[in-house]
Amino acid sequence: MLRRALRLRLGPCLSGRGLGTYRRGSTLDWDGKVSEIKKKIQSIFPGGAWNPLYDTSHLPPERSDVVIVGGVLGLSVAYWLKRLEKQQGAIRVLVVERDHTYARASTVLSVGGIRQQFSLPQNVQLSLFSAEFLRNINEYLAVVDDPPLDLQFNPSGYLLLASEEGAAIMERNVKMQRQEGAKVCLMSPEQLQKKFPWINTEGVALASYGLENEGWFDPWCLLQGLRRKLQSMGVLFCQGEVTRFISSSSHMETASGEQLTLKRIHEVHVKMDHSQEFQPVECAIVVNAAGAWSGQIAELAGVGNGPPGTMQGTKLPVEPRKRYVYLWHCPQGPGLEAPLVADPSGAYFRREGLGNNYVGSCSEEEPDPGNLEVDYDFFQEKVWPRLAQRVPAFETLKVTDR
Amino acid sequence: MLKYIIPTIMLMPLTWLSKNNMIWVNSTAHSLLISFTSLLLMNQFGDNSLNFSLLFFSDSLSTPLLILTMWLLPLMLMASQHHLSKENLTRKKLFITMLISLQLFLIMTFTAMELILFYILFEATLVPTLIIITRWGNQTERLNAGLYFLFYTLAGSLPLLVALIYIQNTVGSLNFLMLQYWVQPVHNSWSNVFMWLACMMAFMVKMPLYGLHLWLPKAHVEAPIAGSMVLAAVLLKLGGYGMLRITLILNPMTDFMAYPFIMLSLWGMIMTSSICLRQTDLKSLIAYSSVSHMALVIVAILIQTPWSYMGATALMIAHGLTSSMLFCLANSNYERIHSRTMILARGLQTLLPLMATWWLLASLTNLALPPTINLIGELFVMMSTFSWSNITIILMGVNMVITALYSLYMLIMTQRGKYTYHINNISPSFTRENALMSLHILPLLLLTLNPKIILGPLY
Repeated sequence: MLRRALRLRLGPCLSGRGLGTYRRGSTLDWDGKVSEIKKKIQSIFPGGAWNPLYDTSHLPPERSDVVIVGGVLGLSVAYWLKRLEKQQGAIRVLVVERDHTYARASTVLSVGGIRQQFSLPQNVQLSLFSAEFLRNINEYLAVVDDPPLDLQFNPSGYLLLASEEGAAIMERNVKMQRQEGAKVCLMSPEQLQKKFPWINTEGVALASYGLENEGWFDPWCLLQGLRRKLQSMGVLFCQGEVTRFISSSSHMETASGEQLTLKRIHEVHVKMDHSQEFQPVECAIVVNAAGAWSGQIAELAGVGNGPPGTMQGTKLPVEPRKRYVYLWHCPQGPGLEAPLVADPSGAYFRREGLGNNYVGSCSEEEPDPGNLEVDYDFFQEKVWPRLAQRVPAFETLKVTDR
Repeated sequence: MLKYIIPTIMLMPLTWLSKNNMIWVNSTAHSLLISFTSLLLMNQFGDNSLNFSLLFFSDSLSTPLLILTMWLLPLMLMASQHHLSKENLTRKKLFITMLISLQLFLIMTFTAMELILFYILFEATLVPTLIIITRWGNQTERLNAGLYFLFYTLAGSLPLLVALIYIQNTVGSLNFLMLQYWVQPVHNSWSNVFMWLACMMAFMVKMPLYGLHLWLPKAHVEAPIAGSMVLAAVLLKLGGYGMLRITLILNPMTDFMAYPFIMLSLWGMIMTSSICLRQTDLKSLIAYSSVSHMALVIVAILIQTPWSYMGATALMIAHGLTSSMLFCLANSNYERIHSRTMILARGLQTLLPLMATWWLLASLTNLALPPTINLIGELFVMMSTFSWSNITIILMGVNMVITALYSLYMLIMTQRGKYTYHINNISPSFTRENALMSLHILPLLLLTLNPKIILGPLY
């Protein structure tokens, strides 16, 4: 609900700035005048397919140094590229996004959590930096004359519960996380009961609770903030879909005499929505940050064309996976200090807003990722029993329509 | 003179009527043959000029420039083959026609006897260059670049027309032979000040002078390789050549009128050299280095001493070959990486060692390494400006240091170090590219052995 309201509020200012590509500020209403002239010409000389004054403002530029395909990670890559370039305007970056409203993107449909409790040390380091970035987001993403971002970062932490089997792994992971610098503490079931009285600690052997830099935030706000900042830094945006990569291949021979064909992408075809029109963009580097659909993009580039079993034949192992997320209301639920609780059975939930609403799901079943329909029966059968078992107050919850 | 003009005009039907797979071969081979005939111009009679007719002549100032112009056409054709390979046939032929017509106008400009003829052809060279930049350039900014180029040069040279007609009316003739003997001292009055300015501004914009140089980075960067080559090598020298000719009739006003321009040039050469150190775009770096070298030429021409004139002419020829070679090298980079940013293509020495040799030689000549003719030019200019005023040695010295800095910066950035991981599969250098580079550097190195032919009429 909150998300939808934010979208409506930020929508008009986004379109006001213009989603076009390269435009110097023109106060003379040039486009209006040009279209009027074109209409006059057409009324005098009707017909004919040759249209020299064709309006191409929706197309991407003909060439760019870096083309980034993708969502919020792509925007982040573009931000750091522009941030670290030595001179303003040194690297020309183009971000291609299939859907400007991000209605089907993973970012806005996500739960928006950030945690340091990973099992890979690199993930922990990345997450620590991200937490610091998010806390100081208004220093990183400040734009002159624009209101500061309000990410609504709720640093309530993550509470991961482990059963008997998982306890040893959890302990090892927590040790590694603490070495990296994350502030995580281990709790026994008694301590857990004392700290969070609304939890039913049956079946829980160990729990790890993130004390600092963990919680959840509004990913839509982060997205808009990045977009705004990138537009001010001179990154070009284009709404379109990447349909083709043109690459030049050269035949080379390795040291052991094996013949190889090395390919190098030098052009990207970007197709516009609802039309067959496409623009070839000549580029030096393509960054594939398309998230769940990066497997498809990689396939376009030819990753995975080769005999199966070899490295050339392995496709990029990324597939879109769909998960359901539900929003419900429960007046007697856990209070304001409730972290994001993840049950060993796979169910998880977190507080949303201040009106006793909660968001959660179960990360087990893999439904068909083709559409974005939500299955409420899944909630009744799979999620609710687990939630009710873990938090007895959730017996009396009521799902609100999402 | 017709022995150069008619073959050059005939290159156009040659391109249009050749078979499809022979247009490049034919035009390159025949323009190379024409460039060899230009060496006949070297047969000069001592102090006098070689007069072909009442319209055309050539003396030891225009001869090296003419040879450079005619040498450059086959090189331009060789350099353009790759980026035009995807165009359709008519466009290719049109491009070659533009280059040939530009060549024609340049030949006639450098040999024009009559100053009005010189002016007409001077303006006529703008048209093919503009077409080449705006039609075959790479980015969308090429339109802006073409606009800047056209209007800067046009606005600068329109007063020249007025001044030339005025001189024609007062002196009686603008024929260069007679002008040398009929010239009267120009006294200091307001109208003469404006006449001096009108005569000089066209060439100042073309050189370019530091304050009027904005068109150059844009035009050089956005032009295709042939456009960049001809712009850097020859069109800038048109300005220098024109200044050298027109200062003959502007004495003694030049003694005090030249002060602001000398100051601007001295300051400008340091400024533009410093800007080179901060560039991220390779072609932009080479363009700004052109401005810096040409500022030296302006200073030399304006102080009007025999040594400075020798230095100016030597520097013009040397810079023409060096800049053109650097642009060809930058283009060979661009064709592989599809980007002009320097940091995207580093460590090329490990991947393309022979090209690294050409890069090294070009960078060394750019920073005026002895005993190349670049050094001879710069040294003569430095010595003459020192005798004109002792303080200029500081500015010249700082400029030499910064020139060396940015040339080496460009070399080290593109050649040394570990290569970026994404360029390990670029195609190796083509024979065409190696031939192009060697044809640039060979005259430069050979002239080191006999520099007196490029030292101009005051040698």
